[in-house]
Amino acid sequence: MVANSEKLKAETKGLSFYYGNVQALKDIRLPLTEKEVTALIGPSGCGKTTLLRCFNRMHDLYPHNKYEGEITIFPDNINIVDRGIDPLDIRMRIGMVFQKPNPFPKSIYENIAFGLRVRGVRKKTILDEQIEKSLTRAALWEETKDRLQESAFNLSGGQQQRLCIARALATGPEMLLFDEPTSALDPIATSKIEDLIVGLKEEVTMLIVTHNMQQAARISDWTGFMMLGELIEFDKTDKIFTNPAKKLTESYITGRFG
Amino acid sequence: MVKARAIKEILLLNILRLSAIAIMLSFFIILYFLAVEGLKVLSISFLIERPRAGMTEGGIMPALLGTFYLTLGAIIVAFPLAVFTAIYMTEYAYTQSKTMQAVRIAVNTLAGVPSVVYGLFGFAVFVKVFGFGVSILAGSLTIAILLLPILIRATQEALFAVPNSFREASFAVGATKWQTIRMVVLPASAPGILTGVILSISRAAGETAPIMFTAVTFFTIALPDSIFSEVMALPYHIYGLMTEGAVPEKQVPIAYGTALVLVLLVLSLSLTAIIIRIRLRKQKKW
Ligand SMILES: Nc1ncnc2c1ncn2[C@@H]1O[C@H](COP(=O)(O)OP(=O)(O)O)[C@@H](O)[C@H]1O
Ligand SMILES: [Mg+2]
Repeated sequence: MVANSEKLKAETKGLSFYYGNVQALKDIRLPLTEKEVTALIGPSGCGKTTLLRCFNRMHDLYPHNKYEGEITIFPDNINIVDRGIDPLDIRMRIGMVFQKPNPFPKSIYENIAFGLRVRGVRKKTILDEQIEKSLTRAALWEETKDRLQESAFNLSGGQQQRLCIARALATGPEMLLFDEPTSALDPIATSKIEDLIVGLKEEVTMLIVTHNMQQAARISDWTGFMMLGELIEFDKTDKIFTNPAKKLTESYITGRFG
Repeated sequence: MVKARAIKEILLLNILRLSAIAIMLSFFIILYFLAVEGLKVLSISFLIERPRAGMTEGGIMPALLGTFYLTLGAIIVAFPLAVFTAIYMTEYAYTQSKTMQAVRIAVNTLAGVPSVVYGLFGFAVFVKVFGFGVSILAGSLTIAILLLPILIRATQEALFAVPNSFREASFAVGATKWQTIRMVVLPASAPGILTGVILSISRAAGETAPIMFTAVTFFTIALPDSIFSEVMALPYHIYGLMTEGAVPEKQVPIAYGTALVLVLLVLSLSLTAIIIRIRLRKQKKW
């Protein structure tokens, strides 16, 4: 059963990806429902990160990487991985949060202003306003409003990750990509990020890679199970975790391997 | 058996320790020696007066000034070129390509060329072909070429030290390559680049061979009035005092005084570089 009734934000079709000669993704078909959370699970090295990084053309930063097939983004029906599409245009619309919190070595303020500055926003009133708004949405405003000029490195790991989420939100993305955003965090910081992601469903479509199956079960609406570069099964999260169609999926979620 | 191994350990440790002490000692002996001889002539007037009586009396102001101009000129030329080259090599070019490997070999080879060869090159090209004559301009350009490989390497190292996660974070919010370099990579690597610049300043100030045929004269009454003037310079002044002239008993102390000034200059620059590096290490949390 694949989402059809709901509105799609993006969909990959026949997507393959190569690191040089090594094929890391094979013929992936993955729909992303608008304003919902789709989770990618699967054993280490199965290609979750690789798939996620196709969505904002991160692979373009390194030589010899090759995409095949398409990722269509709606409503404008553009193929994200088309050579003719400027990756910059895509990254203006789709934000990303990395596995390890990676704030810039700048102040809290400048970290969030960054995305606006690269878009040419200069006015301090607009920057101030957006910074407060983004920090509030990332549930970080109360903790940081009196120390905006301090270095971002003074924040705890969990706060840094929320800062990175605020940084991604500041530019008003249509979609957010998360690559195991809580794998470096303690349980309390993790649950804050999870709450945050659930709250963001009102505004953005999200794709999240997670190592943690409980996390996928807790926060996602849809789940894709990957193995060896293939999308083995994709369905409603409830279905995947209670009654998966494929034997492989079942073995994985019951912890028989992975 | 056990004993023999223990003795070996102790022996080795002491050899290592002695080497380290020997280095320290030679540094302090040089400094002490220069200070004892040089302090005999060193004074404020030594720094701000012109030489008198055929180099046997007076100060070293023209040489100090000349070294300042030559060094400044060299840095002004070499710094942007080196930084641009290093940025291109580390941030833009595909590093495994044949061309880039050739460029790297070229840079490394240039770094190993004896400085007198740069002097000859500068003489042939800047003094003769370009017709700059023996001048600040020709000398600065020659030193600049000598500095290029050093500065390029220092800048590259500083750029490499910036974690890739910063670059990815910048691209991910929609920054262009140049925005990423200007707003993230360069600020993060600035202290490292600055350290390289300071160390190359002291290198530039101390070199004799590259300016010997291109910029300096042993003695000039006139202070430089344009970039086409020939100048005096500290290292060459020492060389001149020791090899020319007829009154060694008066010239040799002045040479020591000049050497002391040069060493103190270089030392204070190195110290600045060290302080910057320590500060950087404290700030850096990535
Ligand atoms: N830069 C790269 N170059 C070559 N192979 C890579 C690169 N990054 C990942 N891979 C390979 O691609 C496969 C998928 O990796 P990845 O997407 O990181 O897996 P996951 O995120 O699911 O753990 C792995 O076999 C990995 O070794
Ligand atoms: Mg991964």
